[in-house]
Amino acid sequence: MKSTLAHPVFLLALLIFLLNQALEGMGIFLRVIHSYSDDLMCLPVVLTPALAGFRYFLGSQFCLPVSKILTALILFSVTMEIILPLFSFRHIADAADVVMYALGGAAFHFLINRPLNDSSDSFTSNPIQSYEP
Amino acid sequence: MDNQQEKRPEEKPGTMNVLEYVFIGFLIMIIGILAVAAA
Repeated sequence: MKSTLAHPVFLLALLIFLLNQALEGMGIFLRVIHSYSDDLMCLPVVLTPALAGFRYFLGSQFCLPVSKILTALILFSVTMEIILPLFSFRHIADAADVVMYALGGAAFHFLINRPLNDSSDSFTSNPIQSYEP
Repeated sequence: MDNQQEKRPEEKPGTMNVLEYVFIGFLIMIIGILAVAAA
């Protein structure tokens, strides 16, 4: 669990996210970073703690199935880009945000969502264990 | 020391189903927090 949350890609995404929030809090808005970095970092930052939670119960070899990543992608895209802009002028629908969510999801899947190389027992003997509904 | 293993609860039938709901609930909670924070 600790190793999952200590993944360098997750820590980098979290650092960039927090840095951007700090800059915005100080009134500094870097155009492209302000618009897209939060969306790009969203799924790695949200799904890595979820992966750590799954691994606590199911073993360190567990990997989130693609269906779970797609569920998160669809939930975030529909809520942030379709539903919220209908009710709040502060939310702006932007198709590029969905692309950023997808890129973040892909980065999570290919870089973070890998079995851990440790000696702890796993749920199955399959080195890349993944639950498919 | 090297062989020290992380302790975790025993697997129980239905654990995955519970985790499914917890996962969806976690995502909805995060989305809710983000929506409220941006409002």
